[in-house]
Amino acid sequence: MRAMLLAIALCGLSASASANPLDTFGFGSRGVALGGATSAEVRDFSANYYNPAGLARAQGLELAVGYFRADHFLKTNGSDNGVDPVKGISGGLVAPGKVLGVPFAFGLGLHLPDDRISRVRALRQEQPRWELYDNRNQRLYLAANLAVSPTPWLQLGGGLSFMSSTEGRLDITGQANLFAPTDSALRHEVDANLTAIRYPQLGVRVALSDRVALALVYRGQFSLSLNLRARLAGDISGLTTAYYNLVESSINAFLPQQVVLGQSWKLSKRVSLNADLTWINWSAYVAPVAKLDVDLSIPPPAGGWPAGITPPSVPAATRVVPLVMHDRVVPHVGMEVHAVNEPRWGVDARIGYEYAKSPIAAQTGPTNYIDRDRHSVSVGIGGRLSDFTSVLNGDLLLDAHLVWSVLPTATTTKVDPSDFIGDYTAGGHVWNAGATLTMRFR
Amino acid sequence: MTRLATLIGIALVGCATIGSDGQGDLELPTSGVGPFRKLGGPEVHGVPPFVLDSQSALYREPTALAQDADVRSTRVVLYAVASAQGHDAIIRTHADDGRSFYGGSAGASPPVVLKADQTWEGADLSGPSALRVGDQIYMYYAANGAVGLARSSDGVVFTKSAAPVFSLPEPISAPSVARLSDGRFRMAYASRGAIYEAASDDGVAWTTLDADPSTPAQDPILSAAPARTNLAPGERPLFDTAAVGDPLLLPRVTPAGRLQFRVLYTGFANAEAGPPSSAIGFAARFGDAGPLMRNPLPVLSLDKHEAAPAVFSWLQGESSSDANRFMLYVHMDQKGTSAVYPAIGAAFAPVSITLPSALAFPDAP
Repeated sequence: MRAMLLAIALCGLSASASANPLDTFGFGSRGVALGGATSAEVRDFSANYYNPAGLARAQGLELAVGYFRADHFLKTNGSDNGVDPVKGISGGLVAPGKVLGVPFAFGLGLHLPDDRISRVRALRQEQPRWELYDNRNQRLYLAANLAVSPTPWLQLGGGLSFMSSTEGRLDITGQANLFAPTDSALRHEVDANLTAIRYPQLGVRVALSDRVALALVYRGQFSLSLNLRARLAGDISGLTTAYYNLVESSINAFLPQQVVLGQSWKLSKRVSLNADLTWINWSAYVAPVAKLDVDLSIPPPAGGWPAGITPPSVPAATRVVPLVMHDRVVPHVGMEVHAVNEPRWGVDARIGYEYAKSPIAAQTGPTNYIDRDRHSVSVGIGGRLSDFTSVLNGDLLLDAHLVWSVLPTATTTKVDPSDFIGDYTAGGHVWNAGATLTMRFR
Repeated sequence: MTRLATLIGIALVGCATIGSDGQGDLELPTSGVGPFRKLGGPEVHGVPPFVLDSQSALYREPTALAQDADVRSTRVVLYAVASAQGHDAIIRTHADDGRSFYGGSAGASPPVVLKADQTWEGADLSGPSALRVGDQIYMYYAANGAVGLARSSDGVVFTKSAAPVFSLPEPISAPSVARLSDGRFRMAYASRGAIYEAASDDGVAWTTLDADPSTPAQDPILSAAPARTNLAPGERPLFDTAAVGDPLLLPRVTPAGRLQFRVLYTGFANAEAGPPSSAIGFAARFGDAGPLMRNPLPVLSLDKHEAAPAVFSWLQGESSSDANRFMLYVHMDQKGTSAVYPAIGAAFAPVSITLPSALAFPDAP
């Protein structure tokens, strides 16, 4: 009870927001319905994200597939900004076994967006955008983990998550005719790569008793870079030869490292209560500002430029205004009730809550990284059918969730009255709904 | 039946997984003063970005007024200076889409609604500034270095005040008048290469306002920018280091509840040869009095001697908030058969939105 009170007190002090699609919207309907508070209690495929150590608790081979959709209704000055929904297939597998008599499990977790595998946007730093919802959640997630349980009260797990960076090159060569543009003859070559990057995640779970368990999870930091090169070399109407090199380098998405401290209590045979605290190192955040390095060389032709033609000049380099973000602790609380628990079937009810205080400092200057505190209330239901056919020996689980996130409207005020964006209000809400079907073999 | 249901289910799932273009930048917040982009091909009839163009009338110095009370209407009335019978007078035209003005097509000529006919006015009128006051339209204008006022109930037939409503020992030009939310009137005007401010309770009796009462001189709210000497590589010098003028006063209450005193203006910089170059700038302050802060970037810079901004705004879509579409009218250089002459062009904000094709010209003035 004292541990519970301590956790609740810590929740009152802390705060935050989220990162990639799983950080923001969770993974698997059961975990989402519990408000993401499941690191000390997880034992299904969602352990690939919440706590790899939980994989070692699996009772048999498990296959899961599900779908979720999160729709944003985020507004500035009362107008919906059209932030894209995040939707796609979630799933995974857990394959348990024994190695040298030690329980062991392998797990795979996947979130496959159905709109786009990844999205790249390098915006001007002045352009308003919902920094934690607009772009960063539009990407693929893949994790592979291993877990062992050297003793019944201890599970250890770890693995890698995979993301992809973007690199590209555009070469344009040929002749440009200023006087008759349609007579220009230009050759284009494009070379683009999505390069894989990996970041680690580790987890440990300790069962203090049959009723109480603790968990500690670490998720590594990663940054998805965007590197684009454009090279133009060509003859301009026989007057001169122009060379133009553009290098754009920016961080397209940055996921700060995280540490999760989780607790799970079985309050009774039917009721369990979970609480997680997630520390997120937002202060290390790298703003996704487009940084251009341009080299332009257009020597004037002999006799100077014809009348009416002015060669372009090189734009000044971008002066990046630092984005100040604060580390946050995000509390998650979830409760599960086994409403029906018959041998052949069962029904669970779940409820959860998460409070994510915005890590982004007030945008009083020229930048406009919009964010607001977020309160998320979740509900869910799970059904179980056991040994429902003579062919399949196991459980068929169907879980569903519904999450309502509220971002209370607040006002951003600018110091400079001549700011092109000016004061604005921002806020809104997000709906997240989905379901997961799991086949658990014995 | 089962197969049909299965097929329908597969089709629905397939539809749910079709990708789409990304968004996230719709109806973004803005101060309502650009930056603007000039209108392009299908957005206007004729040569873009010109919306009112006559080599004989030489349209310039526009001022815009919403034609309807409906904030979603794109019907706009434009008053502008034009050359008529050897003198500068003020004409009236209108458009249903904010762009296709009567007078834009051949054979149509907007009517003159104000010309110099008072003894104090001299021969020419300039710098019109129109606003609605109750059920009347007030038209302020400059003539002979002073500001006059004409009033109308229909926007066509105006009755002038017999004497200027505002004059100073030094000549003033380009008045722009707006009402604050409490009903008081404010005027921004140009004089001696700077922009000054005056106040009135009734729009008729005006007094000057000093932007800095701590000094004995009458201080402008905006002066020419000091020239920068330490430019970074590729950085351009400020566009308004020679003079500022043609103010357009656009006060508003921001979503934070603060009075924002916005001014668009013409900024002039000395050119290497020929007349000064110009661009449209933005300066503002929070509160009722004091100097303005300028944004170092112009809101419109086309290198065509653009000047004398006017703005018409409307509300598009389901938003219940302030106007979110902005049309900027300026006069700028148009190439004629033998010479360059001024004509009125248009620019639009937000820059990411393309307007639908222009509507037909109105049939009547």
